[in-house]
Amino acid sequence: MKQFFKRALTVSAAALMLPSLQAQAAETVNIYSNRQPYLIQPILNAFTKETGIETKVVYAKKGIAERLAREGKNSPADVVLTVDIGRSQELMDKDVVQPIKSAVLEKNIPAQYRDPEGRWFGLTVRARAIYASRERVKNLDLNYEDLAKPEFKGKVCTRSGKHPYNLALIASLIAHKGEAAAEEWLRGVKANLARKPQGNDRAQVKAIKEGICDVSLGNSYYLGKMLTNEKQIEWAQAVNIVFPNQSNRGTHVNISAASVTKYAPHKEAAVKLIEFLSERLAQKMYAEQNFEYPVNPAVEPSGLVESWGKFKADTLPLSEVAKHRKTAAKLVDKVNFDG
Amino acid sequence: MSQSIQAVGAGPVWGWRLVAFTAAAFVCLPLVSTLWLATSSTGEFWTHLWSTVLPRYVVTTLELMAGTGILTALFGLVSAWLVVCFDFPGRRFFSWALLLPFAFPAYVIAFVYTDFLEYAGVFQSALREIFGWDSPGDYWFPEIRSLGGATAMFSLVLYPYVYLTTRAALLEQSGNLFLASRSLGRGYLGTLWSVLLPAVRPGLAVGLALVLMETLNDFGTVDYFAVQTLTAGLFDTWLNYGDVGGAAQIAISMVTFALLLIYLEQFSRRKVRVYQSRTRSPIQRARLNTVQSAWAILFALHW
Repeated sequence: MKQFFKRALTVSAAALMLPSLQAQAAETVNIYSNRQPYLIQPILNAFTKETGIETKVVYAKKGIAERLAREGKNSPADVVLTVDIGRSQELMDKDVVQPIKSAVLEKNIPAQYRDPEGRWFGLTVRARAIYASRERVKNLDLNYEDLAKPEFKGKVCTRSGKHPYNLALIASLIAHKGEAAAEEWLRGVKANLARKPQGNDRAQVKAIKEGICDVSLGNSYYLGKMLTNEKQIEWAQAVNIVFPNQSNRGTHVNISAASVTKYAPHKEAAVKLIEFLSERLAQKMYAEQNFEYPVNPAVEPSGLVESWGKFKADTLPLSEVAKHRKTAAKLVDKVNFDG
Repeated sequence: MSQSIQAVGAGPVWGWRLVAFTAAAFVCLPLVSTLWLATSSTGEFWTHLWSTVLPRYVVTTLELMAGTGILTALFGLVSAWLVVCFDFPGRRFFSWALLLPFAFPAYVIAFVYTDFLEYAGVFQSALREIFGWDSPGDYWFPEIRSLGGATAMFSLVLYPYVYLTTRAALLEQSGNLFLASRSLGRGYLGTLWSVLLPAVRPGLAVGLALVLMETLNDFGTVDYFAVQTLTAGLFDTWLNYGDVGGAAQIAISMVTFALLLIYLEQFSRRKVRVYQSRTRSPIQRARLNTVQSAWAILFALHW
């Protein structure tokens, strides 16, 4: 009987140890992600296939910087995948990411789309476009500035001024033209709104289709998403996509980005992952799935995106945009943009 | 009851107290940590918020609470009164079906109603079809994504709190009270207003306090409806200004407000004595005639 217990104990102890041993054998990289799982999972699977490094993803729409700051040294996270430069800036402000030096990343990513110190790296580029009604807007040579002009009175739709995408656009205006001009622009746009800011970027295109407004602000990839969505295709077909400010500074662009956390337990694997994401295979997958522009200039966008034509992007470094984000938020409050 | 527990001896009481204390500590944990967080901010953002959007947030919050409070009190009281005091076809069904909205978060109801009532929704599309309108400028239709819309959504989802507590209070009432009022010449509505309402007021107030707290703390629905309440300020301070301490300060202000509500509720009935029937003679349900039944069913169905 004694013997039996001994044996049973040994067996169960071995059984208990087995999974932990396995976990040690395979390297893992832990990811906190703003990006939706359906989008990144196929790319991560390709990464695991190529390198043998497993990935674990925690998805959160908001509040990752806060969480990392709370977790401090105990955080299991190695990599953060963000959308919007504002979120990357937040990570730096809270001091939860570390600088990375990588020849691969410097080669694949243009300087404008990465932090000079290597604390964030852009992976995809999206343009903040203007969507214009095919029926009612004939002049497609538009600037952001036009949205504040009287000719668009009662014809502009947008989501909340406080949304990161709009905050970044306002911040870029502050960087280019100063705070006072940005405030004036905001007041002008508010005066032109067809309705109180509400919904997301796609909801504005829907509103154009319904005749509520003529122009709206929206990220470029949403056009591709709507065109490939059975229900939304008719919204997309009601609009033209306009890349504003082509005859001057260029269209405001933003990025989705990756950072290595300050206390990354698997730093090496983390860098490997970000490098992988900047290479051709992953860049192509991003481009095809989400209709964003690859950050790597050697990789071409999807056929659909290419059919919208080439455009000139604002060359202002995004780190400059990020600096003015809080001022932008204050301006939105000041002119009561959402009210 | 307390006597019988004490009679068992000090040991078990201490055991129970420990359990209660531990449970309470767990419940208090988030509150304590929020208080702790609140000390981490200098609060300099308050000046900015006060001089810009906060007054509007506060007013919107109060309007939303007032509207929701009035509507839920009305729906809750009337529906409880109908199922307790009257008999009509489907009464037994409604007495539990009226609780069903509890199963839906307000934002889900908000999605459903918006889909139905917005410009592209089934309802307005049908109107356009019937009357030959073809653009938003051709006719007027209330905007569902508005303060009014949010008030309606909250009322639809939250009235069961009032219904539940008021119904329980009504079931406690002696039927004699009801009969006395009726025999002295009061009509049904008169009896509800001057006899039953004062008697069930504590129950109604508890339900109402819960409703108001739920309204105060919601984010999903108001965000979807572009109605900016204090929770919008809280999220903004936290995520756009990166000031978690400041957000915690707003949260604490909201908790204080909720505590004030509870206090007011208790203060308002400090002189009210509530009688509960000792002899069980519950209210005898009056039978409604066909027309009255139809009204009752319509009212109950509406929610």
